Amino acid sequence: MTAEGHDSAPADIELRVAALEKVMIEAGLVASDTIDAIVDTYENQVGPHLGAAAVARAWVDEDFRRRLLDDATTALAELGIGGVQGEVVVAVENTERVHNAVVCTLCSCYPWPVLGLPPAWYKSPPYRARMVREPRAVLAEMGLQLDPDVEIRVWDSTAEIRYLVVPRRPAGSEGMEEEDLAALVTRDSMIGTGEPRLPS
Amino acid sequence: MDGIHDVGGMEGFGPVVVEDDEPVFHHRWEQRVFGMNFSAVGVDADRFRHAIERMDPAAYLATSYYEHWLHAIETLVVEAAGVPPEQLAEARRQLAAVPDPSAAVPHHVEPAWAVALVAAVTTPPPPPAAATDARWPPGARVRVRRHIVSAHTRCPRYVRGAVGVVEAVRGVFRLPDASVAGDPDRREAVYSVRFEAEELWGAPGHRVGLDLWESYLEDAG
Repeated sequence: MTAEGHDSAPADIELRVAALEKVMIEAGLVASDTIDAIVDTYENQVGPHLGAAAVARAWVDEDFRRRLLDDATTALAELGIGGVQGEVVVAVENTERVHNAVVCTLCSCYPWPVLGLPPAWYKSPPYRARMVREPRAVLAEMGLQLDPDVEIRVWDSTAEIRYLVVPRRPAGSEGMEEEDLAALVTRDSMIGTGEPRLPS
Repeated sequence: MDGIHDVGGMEGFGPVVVEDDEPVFHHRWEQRVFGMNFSAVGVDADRFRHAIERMDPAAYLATSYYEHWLHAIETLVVEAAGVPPEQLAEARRQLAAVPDPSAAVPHHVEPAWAVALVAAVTTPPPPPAAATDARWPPGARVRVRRHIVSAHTRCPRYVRGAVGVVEAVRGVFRLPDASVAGDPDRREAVYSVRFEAEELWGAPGHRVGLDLWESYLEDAG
């Protein structure tokens, strides 16, 4: 079994889920298409491309960058970005000296409106347990080697505040259009476990 | 509740396993579970988290994220929506007798409800009230209370007793500890508090910020 148990889903789970859906539909608690619509929303509409658009805007528009760092919830609303699990979004900016990264040790809180649903590793006990205690080692394992002089700030999402990391604009991206910059901004760079792609 | 969910700082879990090009959902049943939570039973995040925290600790570690959700929704359908547990058992018995249980789930559509639901989840929620009477300003030193006794708390074990510095006051939020205990109207200021790794783990090298309700904290002078 993997850490997340994805390979171990037995037929019993499908039966439990089907029985629960039957009961909930019969009780009027959900409808078949409310489930379909929610799944479509988070599978196809809401995802890290939204956070990437906001980061790219911050890279090219200094006024927006300031608004994003000052009050991300309101700044994101300017771009039509917002929703559940984003009651208060706080943007934290990486600099030459400071690297930010996000975790939720108690469950798997994650800024859905800007990043969509979290990957399995973000929800797994190893990441949740270790990230607050030995983030430099975890980041290195995930391929992000930080200079020893860089201060790491880990944000444990214990309340209803959700964190968006604003990564550093990569070298060589000067003069690029906002849309092309957004394509450099990876999901992991906005969690703080990676860096943006380099311009090709 | 000092449950198994509170894993911050625990050791022995091994490496973080990353799946390349991971899909949003791995199985159809995960999609159904996720979608089912957007209902009257899943709307209360405190109650939902508490339902997961009450899982058997060994089962919690042995099951996946969406199995936790499944457990919580099964729990809350009974506790919060008043569905008799026998009804779930009966539905399982009925569906176990057919070759494809998923295909035997009744199909019932509510198009207007589906549209309204998507609009609701993609609309920015109203901001929290400003904490005009917050006890501590940014820069204040606070200590996390050593003893937090409640059925459901958002104060992890690894910061209890530790001293940190208030980085920001985030507004006034419902207190999860009170909400799960039946008092959903109790609200408190929430602070982002910064802790040095040295204070938490006895070794320097990073800082950890947590968002903590006022009653989790006390003055550290």
